[in-house]
Amino acid sequence: MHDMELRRNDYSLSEDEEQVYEAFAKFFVRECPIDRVRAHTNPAFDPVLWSDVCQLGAVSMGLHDDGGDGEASLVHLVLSCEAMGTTIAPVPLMEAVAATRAVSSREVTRNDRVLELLDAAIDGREVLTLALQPCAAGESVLVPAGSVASAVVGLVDEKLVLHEPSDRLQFVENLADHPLAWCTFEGGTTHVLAEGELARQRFHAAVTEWRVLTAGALVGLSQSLLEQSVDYASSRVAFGSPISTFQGISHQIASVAIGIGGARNLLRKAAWYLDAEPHERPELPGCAFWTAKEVAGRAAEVAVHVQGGLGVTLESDSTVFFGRAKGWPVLAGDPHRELVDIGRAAAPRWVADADR
Amino acid sequence: MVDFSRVELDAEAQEFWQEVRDFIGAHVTPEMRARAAATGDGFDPDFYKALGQRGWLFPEWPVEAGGAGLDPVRATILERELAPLETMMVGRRLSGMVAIAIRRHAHEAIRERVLKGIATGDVMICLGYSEPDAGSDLASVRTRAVRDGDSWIIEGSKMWTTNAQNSQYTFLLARTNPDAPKHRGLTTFLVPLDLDGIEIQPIRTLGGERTNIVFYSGVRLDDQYRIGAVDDGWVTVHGPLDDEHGVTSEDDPYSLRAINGQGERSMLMMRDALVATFEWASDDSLGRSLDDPLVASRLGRIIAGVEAVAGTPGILGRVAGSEVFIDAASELVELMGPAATLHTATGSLAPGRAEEALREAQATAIYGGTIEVFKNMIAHRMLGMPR
Repeated sequence: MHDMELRRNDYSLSEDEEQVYEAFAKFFVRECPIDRVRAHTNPAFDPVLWSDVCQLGAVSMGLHDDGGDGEASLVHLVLSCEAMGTTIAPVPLMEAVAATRAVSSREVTRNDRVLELLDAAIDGREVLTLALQPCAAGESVLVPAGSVASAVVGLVDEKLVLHEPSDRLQFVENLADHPLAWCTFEGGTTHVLAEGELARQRFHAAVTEWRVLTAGALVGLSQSLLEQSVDYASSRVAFGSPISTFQGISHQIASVAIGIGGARNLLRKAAWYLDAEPHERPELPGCAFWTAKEVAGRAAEVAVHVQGGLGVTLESDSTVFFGRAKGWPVLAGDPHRELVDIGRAAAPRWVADADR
Repeated sequence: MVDFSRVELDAEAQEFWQEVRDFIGAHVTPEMRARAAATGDGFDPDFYKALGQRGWLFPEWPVEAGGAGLDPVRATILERELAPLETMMVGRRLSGMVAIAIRRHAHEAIRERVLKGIATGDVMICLGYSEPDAGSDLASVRTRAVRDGDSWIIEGSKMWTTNAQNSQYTFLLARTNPDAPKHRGLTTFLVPLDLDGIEIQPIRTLGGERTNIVFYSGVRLDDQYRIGAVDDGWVTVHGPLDDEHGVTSEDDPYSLRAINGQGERSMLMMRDALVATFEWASDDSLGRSLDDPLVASRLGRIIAGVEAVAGTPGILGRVAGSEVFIDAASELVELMGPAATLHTATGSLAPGRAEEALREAQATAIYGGTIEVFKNMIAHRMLGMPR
């Protein structure tokens, strides 16, 4: 905290922010009941739905410089991901938004082919995605949405690239049904977008945005899991009472509600800072991601647990949500690494506080 | 709208901020801080009176009511600087809670006098709610008040009456109708603590804070000290209780305030310990530092918790604040090892602050209603599950 500084502490949505959330929430609830999720697994991708999501502006609204509407703040984008998360719609929203934003920046070098891919990605004809770990060419990395993408943004040998594999990358089955694929960044065509410091910066920014967007999706998912727990605990009778009357049950559910309350607001704060003052609070995106990961994991465990044996059956909606809740947060690697970065990024601010 | 931008402070507001710091610098000595921590008394008379004289105990109250008539920006600046000094003025928050009930319900013969006294610092009020057999289940209080002409005769005992030893009054919840349903037969009184038949005995706590048990035997109280209608005490108590739970919204045009009261207070209590740990972890000569991922990741997890608490609204944040505080305080002690368990000179930024925080943290999950009571409220009132 800077000395003698007062900041607003407003987590509430404006009318405009509310409208963005409502528009996406209505769309996903209408278009994507759980049956549609179940009909598109291995991998969780529904090209028709993705095209509709893009028509709604989910990708274009977030592009800063050209090709898109460019109206949206990161808060808006987070809200769209939160709405998506409530239905776990089979679309690669977080990866596609983060990747297209990286490519749409005027700071990076784009040839005609890159611009063509960008155009196609904006209206949903193609998918651009993001490899979340830096790597060397030839090294295999698991890429989220890799099996449905026509091109992958990555930091390869310290260069920011857009890589078009010669053949569609092969889907590998996984806990979250996510369209994961191994990618080596060899063969096919590789377009260099940036080198050196700029490459590192843009890549870091893209991965940070992916984390914040994914935190949004996890908060939405947690909210749905909470509702599943509440509904079941309210109607299931055991020992002569609804099981919500037992504190061993009700307090676990209450703790999930507490976690969601904090995660949702922290995420809005992190998104606001990332947009408005990106260097001011470098620890917040990680804090938001970690907090959302924690609550999503807990919400999934509680939902599965309070439903007893039914909770572990594949017929239960909660088991479908469970895979996403546990699978999405590890796409970028061990989340505990995030904690190391938070500790180091937050240190100057707290040590400065001691000098006051 | 989602907004965390800086509030532009004009030159006068900046001068005011400096003025507050100068005031605190002039009035709060290291010896006073040490005494406050060592005694756990919760009160420094000189500092409290000095604040009262400037109208800074309740700075937003109008000047004629004993406040300073400060606008929200200045009031926030003042609060920012005063909040870390809570251990020297525990009575301010408690009295402020009761002031709400007094303003609404007190007999006019005492109302203005008591309110003015609260503002100037001449009057402090402690909470006479809990009893040896009634804590979170407040409606089960057994202390009796029996009508006798224009007076009441009070018989019973109250527990956890923090700051009673420094207060002029207690805000007493007593049973006036033992035949009525549990929540109906209660009445509140403002009881002067110098009346015959009142005895205050200290209780020392793990966190170093002093609290009290207060005995009432045959205490005679004039009816003008009754607050609110007879047998209506549950309603009278609820205004201040809601405030203690941090759910009362006040005028805040710049959205400067914390979105939960008690949760943020827990984080403030941990602040010194956390700052001390970051200093320790940033000093390479002390053996372990942020270069060690074990150190960085645990501090990172605590910071994520602190930020989550700041964003957790209302009573959700009250629970989150206690849980994060209790968890984090243990973590800080373990991180710094045996040195963190040493009692060190208070006021110094040293590992010993973590040990203090660890002891203080435990009670935050109990006072003002245990976290289990709040989880019940969340489960049944907020989430609507059958109880």
